[in-house]
Amino acid sequence: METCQIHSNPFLSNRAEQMGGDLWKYYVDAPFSNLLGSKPLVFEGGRGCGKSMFFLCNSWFQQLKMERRKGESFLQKIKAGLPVGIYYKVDSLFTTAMEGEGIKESEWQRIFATYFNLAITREAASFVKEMRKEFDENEIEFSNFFFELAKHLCEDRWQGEPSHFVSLCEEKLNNLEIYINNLGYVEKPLMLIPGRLIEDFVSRFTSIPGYENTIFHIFIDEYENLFDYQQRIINTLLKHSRINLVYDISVRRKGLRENRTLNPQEVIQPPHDYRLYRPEDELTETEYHNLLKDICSKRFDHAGVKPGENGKWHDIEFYLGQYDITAEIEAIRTVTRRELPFKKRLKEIIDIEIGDKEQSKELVTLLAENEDPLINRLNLCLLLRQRSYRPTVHDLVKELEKWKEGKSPKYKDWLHNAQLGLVFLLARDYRQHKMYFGFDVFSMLSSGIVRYFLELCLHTFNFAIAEGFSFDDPKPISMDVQTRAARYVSRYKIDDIETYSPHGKWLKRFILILGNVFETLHKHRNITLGEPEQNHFHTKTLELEEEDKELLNSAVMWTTLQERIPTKEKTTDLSLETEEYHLNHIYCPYFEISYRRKRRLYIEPGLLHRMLSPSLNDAKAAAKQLLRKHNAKPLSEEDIISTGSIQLSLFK
Amino acid sequence: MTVIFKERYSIEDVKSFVCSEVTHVILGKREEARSKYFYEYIKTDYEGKVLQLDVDVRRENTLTLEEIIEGNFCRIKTGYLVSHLESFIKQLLAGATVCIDISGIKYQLLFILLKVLRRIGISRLFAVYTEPEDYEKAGLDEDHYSLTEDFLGIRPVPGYAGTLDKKRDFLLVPILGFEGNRFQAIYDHIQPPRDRIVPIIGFPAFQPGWKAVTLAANRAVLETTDCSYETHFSYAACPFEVYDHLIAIRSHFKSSQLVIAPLGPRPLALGCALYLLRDDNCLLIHDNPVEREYRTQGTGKCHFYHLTSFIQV
Repeated sequence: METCQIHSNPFLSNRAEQMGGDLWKYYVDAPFSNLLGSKPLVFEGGRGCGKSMFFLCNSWFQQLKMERRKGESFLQKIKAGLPVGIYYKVDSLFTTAMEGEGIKESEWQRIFATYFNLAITREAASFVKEMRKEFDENEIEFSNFFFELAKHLCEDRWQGEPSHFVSLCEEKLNNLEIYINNLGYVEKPLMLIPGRLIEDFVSRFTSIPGYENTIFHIFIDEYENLFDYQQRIINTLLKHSRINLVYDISVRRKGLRENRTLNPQEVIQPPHDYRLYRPEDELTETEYHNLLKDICSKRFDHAGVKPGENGKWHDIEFYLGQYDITAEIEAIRTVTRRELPFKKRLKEIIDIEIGDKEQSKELVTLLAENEDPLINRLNLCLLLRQRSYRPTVHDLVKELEKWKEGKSPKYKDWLHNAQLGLVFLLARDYRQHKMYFGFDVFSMLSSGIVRYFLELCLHTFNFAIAEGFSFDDPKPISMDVQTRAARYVSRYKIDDIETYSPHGKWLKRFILILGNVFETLHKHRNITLGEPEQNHFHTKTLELEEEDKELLNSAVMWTTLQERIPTKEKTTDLSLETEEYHLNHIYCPYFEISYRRKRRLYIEPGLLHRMLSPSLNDAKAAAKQLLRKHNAKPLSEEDIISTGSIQLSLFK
Repeated sequence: MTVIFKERYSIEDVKSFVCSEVTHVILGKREEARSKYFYEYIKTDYEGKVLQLDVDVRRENTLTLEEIIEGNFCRIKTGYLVSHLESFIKQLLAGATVCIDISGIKYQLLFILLKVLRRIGISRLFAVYTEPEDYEKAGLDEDHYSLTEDFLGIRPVPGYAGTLDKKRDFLLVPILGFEGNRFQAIYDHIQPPRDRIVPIIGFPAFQPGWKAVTLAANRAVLETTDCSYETHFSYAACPFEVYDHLIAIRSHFKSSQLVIAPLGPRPLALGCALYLLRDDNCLLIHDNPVEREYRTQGTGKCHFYHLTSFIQV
């Protein structure tokens, strides 16, 4: 047997910034390989979708490491057309200090422009500093290169080495920091025009023989953290990207709040000014699955897990398996209840319709005593439907019998459409938690956000290791352990919402109310499963109040809600009215609702406005009103299996 | 070598000293009982001036300075925190003996106030802190506290803006409190490497069992990062202990930038503020909570700290 010596969880680090110097080793290039070009890129997606990883791994620092590991010359690659990526993550610990204090916005603009020039040029000069020895001395006259550049900073004590220029930039940045922290008490430092120092650097570099065609990509990560006036400065630079200097940004949905430039008449728009890339929309399910598997495979490899036969121990699906409804039903049934409440109700309905006790008894046996509890539960749902959609008891028995012989497409359809919805009901009836397990389910729970998937894996392996799992003898992980991990992650993701500024508390309450509505629609007593698995909503967006739009936008930016265009309508020219808001599926285990994109719920703008109301009572009343429209009453405490005190208190 | 005196007393033991020696008391603006306790306790015997400072974090850190004259608050200045605090208090406090009641003072103000007091040259500096009996709980959950109305986002504390170390040679030092999601938000924001987190927890706490509450509230990040082994425990009512812990942490991480996140009780924040006066390679990070007006219940012990030697370093 192959053994390995690893004791830690391969998923412990799930943020690009935490993976240390050799980040490129974890990078999966496949779906993103053709994104960088001469047109600026706006990479838009939720936190953890891989934006930072993409920019960092295309930055000069990581590319250099990769080429060196391969034993190849980075400079030769650049000469052959490899772009030079300059990575900058918005340092909001500094940039957010640049407002207020009675200072005009135009003045803050100059301060930010100066800071940005210095931060980017420092990084660009660091690249030259690192490559210093590899440049051909005949190719480049460094002292002149940096001497001229330093003139922008009014420096005449200049010595010309790249390292000195890096230090000079740092000194100027420090001066700026001191100025901002002591406004009015220290002298104002030198100010720079937006992008001017960076442009001059690139111009000088591309005038070096052999590097005329080098393209510098300035990667600006976490753009959403910039103030609006700061976004306008970056937009101006992006708009005026040129052949050797391209500005690319990564941003969360709704994070590009400002599309104007410094010129009030000018805006940036795709596809004219930039290429917009949204992995959540553009990656197919297969591509996303492959991406997740490739990422996990690299994790296992770097953690020292042996590949096993045909590499199966590097395949995350080996550990998680696939969702299996039969296995879940079996697990649910392990708990016996003296009398299942739905059976009693089914019997009552049959008794009322048939009248004759003997005949009724026989029909109850046929409809409520099948071996498969899904069938019994489905029969009740069908008989609860409104008259025009409801089969009679006799018709239902007939269809069921025909289906058992493989001859009822109608019953087959009913079962097919309602199957997963029935599992939620059965879990409630048997007083069990809905289970969340399998690679396919974890993938859907992650909602297109790679980091969420990795967090699910992290805690799954954590729980498994605590219960004796070892990579010395890799085995599939039980659905119970996976479910516990999914519930754990879901719970803390709910808690995190509170800190999503600027509306965190409010947002959390709305998500709890919305989640409770969906939960109720999954489990209430009168459910017919005509519209199963409702877990997203749509509304008339254009009729929403401004404050409601702001909150929904904030929810989308933090990916607590995900805005999507319905699949059927993707090909048509759509208005905003058709957009749907999906509760991020990572919250599904918390509310015990479906992670599939099935049925949506219409919430009219007035009612949504009340659900978003600052008054908790009003919001709860609106939620109850919405449920009444669907013939549903809020779940009682009896119906909810300890999913958390906050949730319990909502409908009280 | 400058000797730093770290003196802590019970207010009952030093009341007459405070009333006779302190020339200016600085209060925050809060209505809860423990924030008013100190002034109520001394006011009949105290003859010095009383200033009240407040900052409106929702309105671009607008600063107001009021003075209590004959029992009434009289607004004397309004401006911006960084640009105006020093000019507002320079004339008033030069050469004064000042006592700050930190129980009700906003975090944003506390840090910059100490920096400015050191700069303007006061004669002596003291602080007082009144413990609460309990904090407000959130709903049904006995161990879940609701201390904050909202968060305005992670931003630098005014006067302490700085850039995160570019080479990522930094160490996150969170001072943990009851709201674990605040630690999570800061951790998510700056994304430190897993082995670069050294938490500090207030222990002994004001009440038995609160250490466990803090650990439980912050469990998610502590577990994810495995950093609980690095945790330092520092008496929750003593700013000097946390100061010493920061000195010890610095001695282990000599060249790293310390990123300090004060999320716990105010005496620990005060200790951080004192430490920041002596260490330039530090960054102060804060999530700008809008604290509930009534977030505590009752009053506990009232502590008196002598801080003069810290501002003379």
